[in-house]
Amino acid sequence: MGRLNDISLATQVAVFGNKRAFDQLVRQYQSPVRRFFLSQTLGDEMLSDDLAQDTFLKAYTHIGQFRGTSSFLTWLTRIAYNVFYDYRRKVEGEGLKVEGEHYAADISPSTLHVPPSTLKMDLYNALAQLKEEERTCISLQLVEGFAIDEIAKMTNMPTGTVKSHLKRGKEKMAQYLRQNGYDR
Amino acid sequence: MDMTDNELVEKLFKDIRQMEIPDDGFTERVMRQIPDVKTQALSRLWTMCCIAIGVVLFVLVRGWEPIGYGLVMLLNNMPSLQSHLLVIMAATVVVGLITISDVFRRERYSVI
Repeated sequence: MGRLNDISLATQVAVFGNKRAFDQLVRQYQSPVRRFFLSQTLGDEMLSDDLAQDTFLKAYTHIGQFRGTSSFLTWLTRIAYNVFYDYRRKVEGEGLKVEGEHYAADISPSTLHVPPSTLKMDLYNALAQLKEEERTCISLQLVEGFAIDEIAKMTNMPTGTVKSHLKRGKEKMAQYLRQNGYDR
Repeated sequence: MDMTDNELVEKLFKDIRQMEIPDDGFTERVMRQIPDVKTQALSRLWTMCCIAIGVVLFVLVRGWEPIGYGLVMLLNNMPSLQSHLLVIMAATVVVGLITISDVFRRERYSVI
């Protein structure tokens, strides 16, 4: 039912330029999209919101390309992944640091009011141990709940590569968690 | 990787998975940035007009003749060109092809 409703809303946006229908879609999907960016930027809320805004603007201008073969969230997350990929390329082109290992050191608890608890801070610290691709695969699977083949489609990586990023990412995170006494 | 690793990581993600981020005016901010349909239509119309004018001018001034002439001249003179010029030309072609393929790739993967 939800999927049919999404297709109906997307059609109203594409055919009639119905802004109210798009408003409903943004309201419905802002949380997973912003959460995805929060885990990619290790809790940088302002940057996450900017990137999420770009994602929805791109979704609006390309909504005619949504065919309904995948869920609206899958389609949206793919755009979000590309927005983040473009952002990374831009930042790297400007010679600024973008790797998670550097991010983590720069982020102070005061800038992270979503989510506020120590547990979530620890999550970002654990995610900071991972390479960019590992972090993407881990957050798409463990935070957003996407299947491996969906992640492969979104990121344009072979399924085997996604699996190995997940395996390595989980190993690194588990090692970090053990070192910090989480297994007790 | 054994199950313990999985369990440990799963435990950490359990809460965050259920975390719902409050809207807090995000949707309004997005909706304010949405381009106007009329502006979009006008922009599309303007692009179409420019393309049409370009095509008409190309046909009127027989634009293919100087291009063809230039290419034939280039090919005829290629053996006499200095090697560093050939390298620059080849590099330009390679960079151009990479750029074009990158643009196509980004277009293809920009949406599902």
